[in-house]
Amino acid sequence: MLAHCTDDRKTPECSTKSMDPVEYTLRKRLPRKLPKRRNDVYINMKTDFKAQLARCQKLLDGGAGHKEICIHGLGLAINRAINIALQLQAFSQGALQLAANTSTVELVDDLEPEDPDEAGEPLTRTRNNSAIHIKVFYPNA
Amino acid sequence: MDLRDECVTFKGEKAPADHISSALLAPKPLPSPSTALKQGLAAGFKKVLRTEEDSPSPFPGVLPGILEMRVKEGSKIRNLMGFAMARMQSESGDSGRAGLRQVVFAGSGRAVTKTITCAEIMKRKVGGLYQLTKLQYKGVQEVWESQEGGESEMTVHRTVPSISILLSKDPLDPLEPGYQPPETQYALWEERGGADVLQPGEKRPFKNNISETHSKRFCPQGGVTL
Repeated sequence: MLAHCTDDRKTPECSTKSMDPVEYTLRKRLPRKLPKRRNDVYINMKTDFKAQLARCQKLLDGGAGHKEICIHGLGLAINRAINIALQLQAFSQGALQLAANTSTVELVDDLEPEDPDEAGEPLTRTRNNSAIHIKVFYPNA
Repeated sequence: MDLRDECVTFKGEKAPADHISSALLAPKPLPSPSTALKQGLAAGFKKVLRTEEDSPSPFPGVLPGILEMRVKEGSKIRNLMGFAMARMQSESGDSGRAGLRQVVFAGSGRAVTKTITCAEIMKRKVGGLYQLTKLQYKGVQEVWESQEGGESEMTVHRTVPSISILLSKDPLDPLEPGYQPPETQYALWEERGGADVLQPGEKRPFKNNISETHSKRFCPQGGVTL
């Protein structure tokens, strides 16, 4: 993650600060949205942990409970996704099983010149991030 | 199996890694890691020692001679990958040895993301690796010592999530939960019709015009951000 910053480059819209001497605003592009099945849960760091846990639990329980749910986490949310999956397993007293898959997701950052008069064209920077996909399911028989 | 073990609670506040205990008690706001550390330091305590408890290897039927890479929070990926790649790629005359055909990356707590990243890098560099991923809780003992006086000492016991990733050149059991074949097009993604994962051997186009001298963290193709 870019950590270096200078004050004169802070603009209200930029989420991360750029470090280039040519003034750039760095904006992260959201990862590509994937079509979501009903039993897909995407974990982020903004929503409360307990709320996410309760939502996953609800998807598994109840009369219309799904046989399996899939928990996804990207970057920093990987830890939280693993925690949720392990918690669900602990609450089920061993009835649930976990299957974890990992993958790499490409993220694109847009760099825009802050001052329109300044020389500079919009650039894109690509980076990679790790993702985890955990299937939580009741094993048959 | 009680996973909510804690010998001493740190001044009545729950440590951030302890989502386990906090989730069941009366609603208390979970302190962020930085808050907990600041309060700890303000109370004059400093973490002195952190030891991980040994848990049995989660992989059934794995030969005891394989390479185990323990990824810690402060590990440098460059160093880890250098060592692991050298071991996996030195094939000359050792192709029969089991030790070079399998490698395990294990990490816990804050090192989990780094562990996954290491495994992904290795999968990309050495194609055709079968993967098996296992998640468990790991016990950790921390010793906090008081800065002033130096008499009081606390031992905190925590359980943190940990991950173990087995990468193998030989095919693994596909029925085992957590199995992942080397091909990137598995059934999970086929339904969505998207290929977010890079094919092994595929290079990203070099689009960036920023010169290397100006940005400290410039990552040309092949760079990975955590």
